[in-house]
Amino acid sequence: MQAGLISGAVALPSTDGGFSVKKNVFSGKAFAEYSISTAKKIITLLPNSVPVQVVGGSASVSSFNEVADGASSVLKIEERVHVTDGEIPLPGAELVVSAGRGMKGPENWGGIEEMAKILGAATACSRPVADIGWRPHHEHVGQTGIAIRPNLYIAVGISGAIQHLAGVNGSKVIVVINKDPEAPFFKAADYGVVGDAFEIVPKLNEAFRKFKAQNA
Amino acid sequence: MAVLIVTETSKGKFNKASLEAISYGAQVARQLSTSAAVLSIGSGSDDELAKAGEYGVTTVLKADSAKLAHFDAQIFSKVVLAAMDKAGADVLIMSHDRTGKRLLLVFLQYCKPA
Repeated sequence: MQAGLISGAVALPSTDGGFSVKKNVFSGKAFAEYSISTAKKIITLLPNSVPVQVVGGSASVSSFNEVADGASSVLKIEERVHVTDGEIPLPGAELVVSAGRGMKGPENWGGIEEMAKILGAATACSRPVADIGWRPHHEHVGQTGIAIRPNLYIAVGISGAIQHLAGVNGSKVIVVINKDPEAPFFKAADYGVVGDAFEIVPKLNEAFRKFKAQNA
Repeated sequence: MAVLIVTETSKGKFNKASLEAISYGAQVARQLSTSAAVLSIGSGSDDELAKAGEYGVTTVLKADSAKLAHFDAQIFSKVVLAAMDKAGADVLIMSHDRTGKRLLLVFLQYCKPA
């Protein structure tokens, strides 16, 4: 195949005198322009990077099952275990409510889970919270966890260490709730609330509930 | 030099990442003055899949075999390569989501070292 590969493209290619595509580098802190000179090209598109464009029309649909039906595999699935039983899977979630050590303990996650339920959001957490066992590891977002790019990311009680930001800075809108006005996360936030999460989260949940009831 | 876009359906519809990939692939095809086809993996009615045309795609190859119900690198990669042949595609576009990243690992063996 001898293909050229660009993973995580964030823009349409430039085809003036070649074929080059922009992608994020250094955990999203810079862009790089990559060129492909091969005839065959493979590109993966970073979600939430390029707006969808509707041009109108309809496509013809035909079945394409011969290859799959005739294929064999060495893989045999014995059992499938869903770790996110009934919850919204984090990697593709459009809304994410995340919390960190500012919650002071796993018993205080009720408000966060309630907010996620009201909004139809996935829950996430910072690495320290997963490391000390307050939340499961599959909720850990950041450089060493899952990198996400939701439309809305609400961070409660997370200071915003650079390793955490690396996994969430592709979010379209970031809302930070933290009682420390010097928390570095505020520099990356679109909206920030300086205050105690234990006061703000219940008020927000009440407001979200009212808004949903009025707009149902 | 057509463009093939690999997509997945969720509950019978294209998921958001797939719609973005379809729109992106169709725009790339226009830039290259060629056509774009979609390989749809997963279930979905023909009417629902035909909506890919709204984004500028002309053909949808519907792969809803039971063998594609769960990710299997061997089978998925065979289907994608066969779809590239069928569509006459030189450009393969996928979302950088979980399936896209897993397929990338398989396709790395087909990539030319710089």
